[in-house]
Amino acid sequence: MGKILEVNNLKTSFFTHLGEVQAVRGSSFSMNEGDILGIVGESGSGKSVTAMSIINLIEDPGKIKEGSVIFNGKDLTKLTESELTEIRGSEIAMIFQDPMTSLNPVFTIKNLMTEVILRHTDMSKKEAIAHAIKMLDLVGIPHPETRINAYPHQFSGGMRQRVMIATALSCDPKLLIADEPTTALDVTIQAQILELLLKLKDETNTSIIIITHDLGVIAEVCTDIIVMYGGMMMEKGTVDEIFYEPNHPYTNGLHNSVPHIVSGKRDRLIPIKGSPPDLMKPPTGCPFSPRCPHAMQICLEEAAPMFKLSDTHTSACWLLHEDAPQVKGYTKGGKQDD
Amino acid sequence: MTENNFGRNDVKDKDIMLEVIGLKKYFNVNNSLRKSKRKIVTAVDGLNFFIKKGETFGLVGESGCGKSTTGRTIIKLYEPTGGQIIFDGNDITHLSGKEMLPYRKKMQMIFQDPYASLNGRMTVTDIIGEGIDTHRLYLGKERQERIYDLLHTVGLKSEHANRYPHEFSGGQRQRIGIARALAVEPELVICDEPISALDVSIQAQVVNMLDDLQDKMGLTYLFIAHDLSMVKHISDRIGVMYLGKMMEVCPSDELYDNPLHPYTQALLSAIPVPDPKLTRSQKRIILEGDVKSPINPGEGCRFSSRCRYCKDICKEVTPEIEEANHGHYIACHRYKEINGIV
Ligand SMILES: Nc1ncnc2c1ncn2[C@@H]1O[C@H](COP(=O)(O)OP(=O)(O)OP(=O)(O)O)[C@@H](O)[C@H]1O
Ligand SMILES: Nc1ncnc2c1ncn2[C@@H]1O[C@H](COP(=O)(O)OP(=O)(O)OP(=O)(O)O)[C@@H](O)[C@H]1O
Ligand SMILES: [Mg+2]
Ligand SMILES: [Mg+2]
Repeated sequence: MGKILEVNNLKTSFFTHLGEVQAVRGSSFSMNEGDILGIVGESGSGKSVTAMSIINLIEDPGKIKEGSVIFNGKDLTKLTESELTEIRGSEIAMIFQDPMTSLNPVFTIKNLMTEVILRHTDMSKKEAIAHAIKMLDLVGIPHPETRINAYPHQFSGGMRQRVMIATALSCDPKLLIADEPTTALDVTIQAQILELLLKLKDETNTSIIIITHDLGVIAEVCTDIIVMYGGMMMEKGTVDEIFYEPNHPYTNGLHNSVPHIVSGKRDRLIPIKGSPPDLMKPPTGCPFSPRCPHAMQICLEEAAPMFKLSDTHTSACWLLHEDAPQVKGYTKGGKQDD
Repeated sequence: MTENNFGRNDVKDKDIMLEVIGLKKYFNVNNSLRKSKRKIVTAVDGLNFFIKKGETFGLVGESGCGKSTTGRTIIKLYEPTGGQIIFDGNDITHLSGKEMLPYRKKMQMIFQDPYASLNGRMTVTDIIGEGIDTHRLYLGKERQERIYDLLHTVGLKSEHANRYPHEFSGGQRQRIGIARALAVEPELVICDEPISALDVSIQAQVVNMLDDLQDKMGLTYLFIAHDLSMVKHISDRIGVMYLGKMMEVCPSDELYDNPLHPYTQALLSAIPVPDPKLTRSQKRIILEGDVKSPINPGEGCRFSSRCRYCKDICKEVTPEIEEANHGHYIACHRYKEINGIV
């Protein structure tokens, strides 16, 4: 299993008229071929910006300040715009969170899809149309041969997202970045799409990054998980580690705020209190400390390093430090990872 | 009034906030001059339901089944093709734009797409203040106070007031949309997937917030969503739609304990469970078959093309909705056999 992606100390900021928004503050992770990596986290925690930084699509006033993104041996942060255009859409495909603004409304689905296919393959126009219809069928658009002539606004939110997925998959990418790919879909279609992504992975060994806030989706498809908060990585591990041995108060908070389907009583949900930090003025210490039920003095002063719990599992929480008080549910003494 | 009115006769008129009778919204997708060639999307095709004052009615269903169109038609963003919309005893189906104005204050919508629904050239203050100004609710300093209040209500901060939508993440934008809806002190809020773009801890906050606002302000909700676990959590009654038609309507506990429609059963089984081991061992009903086209769908049950219990009658005759138990309504020819009801 070869390493396909390595992100080192990535820092991305937006320099707005009101000041610097530190959207991603030093992320490091790597992916092997065939991995399905889930990125979960609070709204505004920098998940989309991480994804956009990987394919170097950060627009003004944003900037990748530091770090590298090694894909297939190349540092994407160092490539020219034309080299990047070559890679985007063919080797790395992206499905955006927002299907309406990423589908140009003046073109038909046919125009939009065949343009991408023609740009990245050597198919003829006719083959490209046939391929586009096949892809639409694959993602469950009924009567693809007629509906391919429709405009994006004539489709519902969910159907537009399926068009996005069909387009992204049409050039057989090595890495697929899916930003909230099923958020707008209902569950029966979501179940199909998740199956589709798993099938794609099995058949082509495509690596996939899925950004989602749905822990159910993560549980179903991911092999590995990164939990982000306030522009930083809080915890990283295999799917079983994050679900059965979570070692970060934020991860635990996420688990607790999921509604349980039980009949009869209507329990109040337990949200994590407070709101996410203003990334213009991020807290000095751990970004989660203002909302953390276990916050200590050091948490307010200094962000925790990544403590190592296993070869695959790390957590940025001071509770894991050997001198920290013992708190139930948190494993201490993990070696510091640097 | 038909007999299939979902227990409407049990409820007094004055307790009803919204009633929809035979509501239809069709879209022409090509305007061919020849009638035989015309293509019509029957986005909403004869819906009946009512919402009691202070109640939360959940509307769930497949992507493209007409949930948003239902919401948009109710607030008359779309002209209905047929049927009636009755708001607090007043038939608003054919009111002109000017006549609608007082109702626009009473009915607000939180939109599905927090990106497209906020004007990018307006600051947060302008966005929230627009309704306040249209309906002349507050002026000057009071207006600004009110806007800060609303921002705090939805968990944002005063310093966000002068920023533009593109400076916010998806979740933050949805909160701005909620603040905008609440600004005019509405009675009915149509929440079109208000939380589907949000992550879980924020979903829980927004749902608790909508809950509290309902208690405090006596709001009535039409809650549109595809996340069934959340819909179950928030709704008193739920309607399940499929391709423009209502398949099943009942109290929310009943829907989860005793779903009768094969479509509802598939929906419930497809909910992803946040437990990887359970998920790996779970058996899912993955629906086969194509979704019927919403263009000229013709006769027959609209779910028949994906239903594993489909018989000839299902393809030929559109099932009428009927009462299976008290307050539990279903449109399926075969629900008795399927569920072993004698
Ligand atoms: N163009 C921009 N200008 C200024 N700030 C920005 C811009 N784009 C993003 N940000 C900021 O960067 C931070 C991270 O945003 P990002 O879109 O990555 O969040 P996210 O984790 O994807 O959230 P969500 O789950 O809500 O989509 C946010 O605080 C956001 O306000
Ligand atoms: N302006 C329009 N012109 C033509 N067809 C439309 C228009 N708006 C919606 N439709 C069609 O009407 C049907 C219902 O769409 P609607 O947006 O109401 O679905 P929805 O249930 O809200 O779906 P989703 O869960 O994906 O948001 C779809 O087939 C859609 O393509
Ligand atoms: Mg995002
Ligand atoms: Mg919709």
